Amino acid sequence: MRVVLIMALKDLRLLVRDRMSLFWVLAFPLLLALFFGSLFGGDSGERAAMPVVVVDESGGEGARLVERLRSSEGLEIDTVDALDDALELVRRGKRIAFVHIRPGFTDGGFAMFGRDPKASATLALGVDPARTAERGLLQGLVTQALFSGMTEQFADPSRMLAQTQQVRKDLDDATELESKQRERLLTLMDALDGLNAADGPLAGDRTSTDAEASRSGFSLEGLLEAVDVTRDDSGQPRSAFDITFPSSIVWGLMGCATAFATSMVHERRAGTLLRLRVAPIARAHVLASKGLACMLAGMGTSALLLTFGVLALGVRVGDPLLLLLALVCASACFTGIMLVMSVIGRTEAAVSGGSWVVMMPLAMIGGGMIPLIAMPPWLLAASHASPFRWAILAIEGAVWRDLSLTQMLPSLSILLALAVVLFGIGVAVMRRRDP
Amino acid sequence: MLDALDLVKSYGSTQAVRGVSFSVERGSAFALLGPNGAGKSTTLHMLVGALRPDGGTVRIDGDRDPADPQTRSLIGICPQDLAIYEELTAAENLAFFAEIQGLRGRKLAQRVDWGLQLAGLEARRTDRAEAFSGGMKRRLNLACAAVHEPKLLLCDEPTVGVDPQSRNHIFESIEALRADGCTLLYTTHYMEEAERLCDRVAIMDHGRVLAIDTVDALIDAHGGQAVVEVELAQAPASTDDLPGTLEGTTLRVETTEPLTAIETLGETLRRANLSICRLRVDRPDLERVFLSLTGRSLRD
Repeated sequence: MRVVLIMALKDLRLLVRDRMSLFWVLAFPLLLALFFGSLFGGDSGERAAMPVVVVDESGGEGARLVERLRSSEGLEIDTVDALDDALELVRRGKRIAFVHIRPGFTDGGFAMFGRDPKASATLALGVDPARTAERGLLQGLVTQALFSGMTEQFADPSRMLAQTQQVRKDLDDATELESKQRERLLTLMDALDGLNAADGPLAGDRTSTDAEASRSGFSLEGLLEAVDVTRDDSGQPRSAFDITFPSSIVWGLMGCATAFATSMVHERRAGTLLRLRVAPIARAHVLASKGLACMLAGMGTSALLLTFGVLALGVRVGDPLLLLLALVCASACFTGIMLVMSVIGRTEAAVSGGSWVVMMPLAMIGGGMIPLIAMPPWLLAASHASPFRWAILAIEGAVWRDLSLTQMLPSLSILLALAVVLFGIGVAVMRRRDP
Repeated sequence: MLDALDLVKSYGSTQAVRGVSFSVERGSAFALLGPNGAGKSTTLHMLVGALRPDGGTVRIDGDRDPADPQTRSLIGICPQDLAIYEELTAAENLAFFAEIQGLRGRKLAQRVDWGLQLAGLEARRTDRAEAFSGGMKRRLNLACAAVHEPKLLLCDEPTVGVDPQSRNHIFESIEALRADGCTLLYTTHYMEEAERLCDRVAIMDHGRVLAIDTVDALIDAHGGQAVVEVELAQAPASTDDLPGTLEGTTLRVETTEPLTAIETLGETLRRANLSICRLRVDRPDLERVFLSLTGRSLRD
């Protein structure tokens, strides 16, 4: 055991003194964590507001909608007078989208009654094709603003009355509407007028606010609560760095695996492996020392990255003991990968190049670059074959997913099984190559 | 100390070693001399158990198997490549290779100091090997092989690519190790190294041992006669009384007794009233032995 430790310490010393290896093992994963953490909103966990330009051609009816859009935290609104100007801003990438409030726009929920289905829409949304990722969120925010208008309207009796009268008029004009359908809608308008006149829950002050609307019983607020699934005892929202550091740790483990695989080949080529094999130690000692050094380097890298994350960026670790277990299993898995990589080529260049060729696809399909949630179903299915996926899931489970040991067992078991299988393959190929 | 019997090794269809046998006496120095590709390194790797022979056996220190870890502790190897860690200092390299041989404590510190002295690197003990010249690295390479006081030291072309000063330092180091009783097996394609350092020499070519003996015996058996070569000031009018062969103004005389031949030649030239510009004696050496045995030069 002593000789294994001596050799492992020697390997760690070599790693620490090799600046290029240190970059891939420590600096690169840290940069990744910082980059993606900052991209996803840093320690606030919030997205930057989306710049959107509004063209209001409604003749005043859209003013309330514009104000509600302005009050949305997710949007940064400015207005222009001409649609062409708005289009130009989006085309040149200066705004993510434009909202066009067309003539005939009616604010509030009554716009949906008595509409001619063939009539063109009175509200249009144009999104930069390069920002399709934000399209859904943007549509949601605009819809939210529209429904807020509906809430206000239900809380204002005079607006309600005016709108029901307008709808009755529109229904009379809608010649293509079936008579039964017209009758049903007119009955609905009668019922709304009745509720409004009876000082019921719809009644309220003419200058009602959202809060008053809420008291009157009609409000969207509180209907849907956004719940943070990243549980934390402190009650504070999770930092984006909590999310990005687990994958950066796995990149660090990959860096260690690549560095040690290359060092193994270097030892073989330089002749130091011959010296070790002529020494009074078993081949198993040499392999064990490489494995131990790779594992220790992986654990050390993880510890350094996490320490930096905790001290400098406020990363919070859910369960340190489970994290330790996850790191041991993940490091063991990547040690197995290291042994296989060390036998895939006969030169450092071949192993280093081969490692990237093998590891990059595994990282990509395993969530090391593209988040698992953003993957199409077929790629998500393929990700099960990547050790990256299981390592990230295990580390995330201990850092912010707040999983129990039982819930983490599948990931941990797969990592350990992969470690055993890969270690076996590496040793078998090595024995065949150097009998 | 070392017995190799009928060693055979092939790489695919290429037979690298074809039935090599020899013995090395305890405390002696033995050279495997041959050109690149002769099979010297492959033989050496089989001797230390790093390569499994296809046929034949190796026995060390009596009847011990080199694959046995206890036997390997008797062996030190100085590979042809620079088998040191460039990122470690000279002292760290020596300490590492001594520690994996089981040395520790005061003994370890003593042997590290000894190794630094052997390599002439006492003043550079804390410098990383990557900062050393080629010759310094070669010296450290040798010291790492001998740091644990092996009884049998195998050196695989330890002077490849070094400057004359470092080469001489390496020779002196090896001679010091021999004086301490270390048995030496030395592979080289430099016949002057084999002549200087070794008692017995095996001449190898194409995976076979062509001849084994002491340097003198090999020269006597295969080196032919010495050649006395004389450059005359002018071409002689007659060659009737001259010994040897004349080409232009160069006279060559083959002889087993160069001194006697020079005395006789001097008398003959004086009588013929011929003066000498240059006189050279070529004694037979291992190069001539190799040429005689293979029909080509060692460095072809």
